[in-house]
Amino acid sequence: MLNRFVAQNFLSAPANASPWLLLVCLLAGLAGCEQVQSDFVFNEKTQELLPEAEVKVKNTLVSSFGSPAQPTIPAFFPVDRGQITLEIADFDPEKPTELLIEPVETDVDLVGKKLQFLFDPEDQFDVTMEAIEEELPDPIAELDGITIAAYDAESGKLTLSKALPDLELIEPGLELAANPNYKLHQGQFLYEQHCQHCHGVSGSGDGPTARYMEPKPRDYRKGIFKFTSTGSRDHVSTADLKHIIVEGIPGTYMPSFKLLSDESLDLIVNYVKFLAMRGETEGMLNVEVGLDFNKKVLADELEGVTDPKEIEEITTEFKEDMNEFLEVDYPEIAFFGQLDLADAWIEADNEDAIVYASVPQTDPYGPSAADPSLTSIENGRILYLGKDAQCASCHGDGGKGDGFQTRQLQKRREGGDFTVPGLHDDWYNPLKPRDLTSDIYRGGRRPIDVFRRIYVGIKGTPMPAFGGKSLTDQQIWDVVNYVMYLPHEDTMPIPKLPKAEASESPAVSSIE
Amino acid sequence: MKRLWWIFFLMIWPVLALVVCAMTPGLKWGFPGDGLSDSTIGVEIDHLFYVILIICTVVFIGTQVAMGYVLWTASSRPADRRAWYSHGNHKLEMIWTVIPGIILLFLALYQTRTWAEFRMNSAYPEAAKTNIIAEVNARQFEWRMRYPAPGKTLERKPQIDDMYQVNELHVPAGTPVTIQLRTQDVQHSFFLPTMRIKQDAVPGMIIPVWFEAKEPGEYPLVCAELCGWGHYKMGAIVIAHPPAEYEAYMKSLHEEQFEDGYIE
Ligand SMILES: [Cu+2]
Repeated sequence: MLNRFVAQNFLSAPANASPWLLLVCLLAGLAGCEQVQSDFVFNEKTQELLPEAEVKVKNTLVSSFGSPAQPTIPAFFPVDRGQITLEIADFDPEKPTELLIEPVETDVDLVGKKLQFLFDPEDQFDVTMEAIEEELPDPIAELDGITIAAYDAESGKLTLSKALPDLELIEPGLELAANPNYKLHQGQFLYEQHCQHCHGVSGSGDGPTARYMEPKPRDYRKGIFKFTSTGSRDHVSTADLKHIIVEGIPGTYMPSFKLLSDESLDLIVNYVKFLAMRGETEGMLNVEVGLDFNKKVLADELEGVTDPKEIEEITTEFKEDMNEFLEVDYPEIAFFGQLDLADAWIEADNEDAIVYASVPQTDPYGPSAADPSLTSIENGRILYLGKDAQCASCHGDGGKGDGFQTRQLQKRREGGDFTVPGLHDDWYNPLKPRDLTSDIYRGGRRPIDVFRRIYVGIKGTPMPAFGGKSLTDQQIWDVVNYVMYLPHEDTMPIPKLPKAEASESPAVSSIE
Repeated sequence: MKRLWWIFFLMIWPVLALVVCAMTPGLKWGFPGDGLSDSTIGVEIDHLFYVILIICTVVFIGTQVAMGYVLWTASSRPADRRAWYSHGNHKLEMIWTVIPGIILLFLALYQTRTWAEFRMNSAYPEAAKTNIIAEVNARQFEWRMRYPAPGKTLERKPQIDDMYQVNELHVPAGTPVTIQLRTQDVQHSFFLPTMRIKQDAVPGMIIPVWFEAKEPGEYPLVCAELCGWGHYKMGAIVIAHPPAEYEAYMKSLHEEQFEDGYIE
């Protein structure tokens, strides 16, 4: 009865367009729900390479790092891939689809999982190069796409989805990785949920919400992160990245993700590292290849040449050179370049990479360890205004972030001036020096955090590293004490030592 | 066909309503957790909720029965009988205006004490007036807390020895505490769902909010004012400590905050 009532109202009048309208709306709505397939983008420098070189670089990136749907990374990079590590116990080349492995305890069903062979990277590279030289198919490439077809836990017998090539490297003791990029998948899922809308699919800081932001979200692809506990030339440590995600960055749009589980945080950090490594690899290849073989270099060589025959000659010669480079030198450059990058990341997680003060913090109100005739804050002020540190040139005499450098045209690193006066970061975004009176400390407000900002600098910005060079650790503590006193300057007079002669010398007169 | 409406109003709709009502106590009336308030004032607020719920139930059942009666009797009347129009009937209008009026007036008076206790500084519990433990700064899209150094009182202007924390608010349990609520950008709302505490953070204003966690534990703090695209990220946690542990925790926080990282 009810149905008839409904039916009568909606369908009895054929002239009534509403059901069709409804249908159209529904379909339009469904079209809007279509899953967007996102992919990593390549940076502009890669597009500037000559087509043959561009293809080479892109292929390297895809084979090393995959796509957001299939993230992968060479095993020598220090990223937790979440693999299940297996070890070959025996391999009989007569039976190329079988491997005996050492018994493993795992709750994960190995069947159907991808299998990767963890050869020594240099050995693996040699095999590939040899194959190229002899113009034979690369046996390493034949290992791609091997999955586990069956596993017998009793005997440790792995049956593979396809036959193994004849390779000396496959021998007892060699480690295998089943399900090799499991954690990158998980990380990608979380990154997509929490980070991607600002930091972008490729970690290039250009997600849809990024345009509303000042400062801009970090572009990871340079591998440069501002606030690190590691030395001025070191990469960021895993702990630093996690610290930023947990604490957020006050004064910017980066919020705290403290309530995420520890496991999720680690997965996100892992994936961010992965994106940074991918971006850095691309940057490294752009430099190595682009130095000689980008479109601009060829255009420069052809400049002023009008004879078509000569143009043809130059172009042919150029391409010959390039093809030779791509065939002979490129594989080596790409491989060892990535190996070097991986090493830099490994070193950043080393205990010795972390910067600590060699002396404890000086009491801000007590005598300075660098100049005992003054309080630490007083001496910090002198250093702040003085020639060695030159803090005031950017941060201003009053610490308001309005030093004279903010009104000058600055030089670009590759030559030429910026169009806007003031400082810029390595991503060429205009950058204001921190207003030190604002009481906001982006990289953390513990004295050790501020000490490290001064000691190692802020990477990717004009804030230089003072540690071990222009300032001693004692002097840095004085500057830290003065800087942390600055927001309270209006309510607290500058502390002086009780002795009359000590407080007599006004700060300015001590500056040479 | 006429009876169709009768079936709809007296059968389907009330049956559905009854089923939902029968289920809701099991769902703790939609309250989070065990359905009981985790703060003292929340117990009073819950009580007001139940009073209103009972009044609404009585009114709902009464009006539904009356409507069902009218539909049932009217549907069996001959179609040619003249209808009686009640519109403009002074007596009826009086009845259904005055009765709800009385109910609303009763509610207004009945809740005054709870309202004053939560909103009016003079009606605060004594401890809430002195126990001002932190400044809570809402910003897109997180909560930043500022505590005075142990043994000091919270100043309006940040002090050199203040302590800071993000998305974590530590309070002592079993005693009323007050936070000063501010926002650094747009409007947000400080919402402790399990404590039934909700207060908007308004730009340019410092609004005191007091609450008492009955038991030590962890309680959610969320933003209850759509404040931008990242509104959903604005979750934090209130951690209530036993009083003695609270003191110790604040001391350790202070040490951590002024860590110089020196290793001998
Ligand atoms: Cu909010």
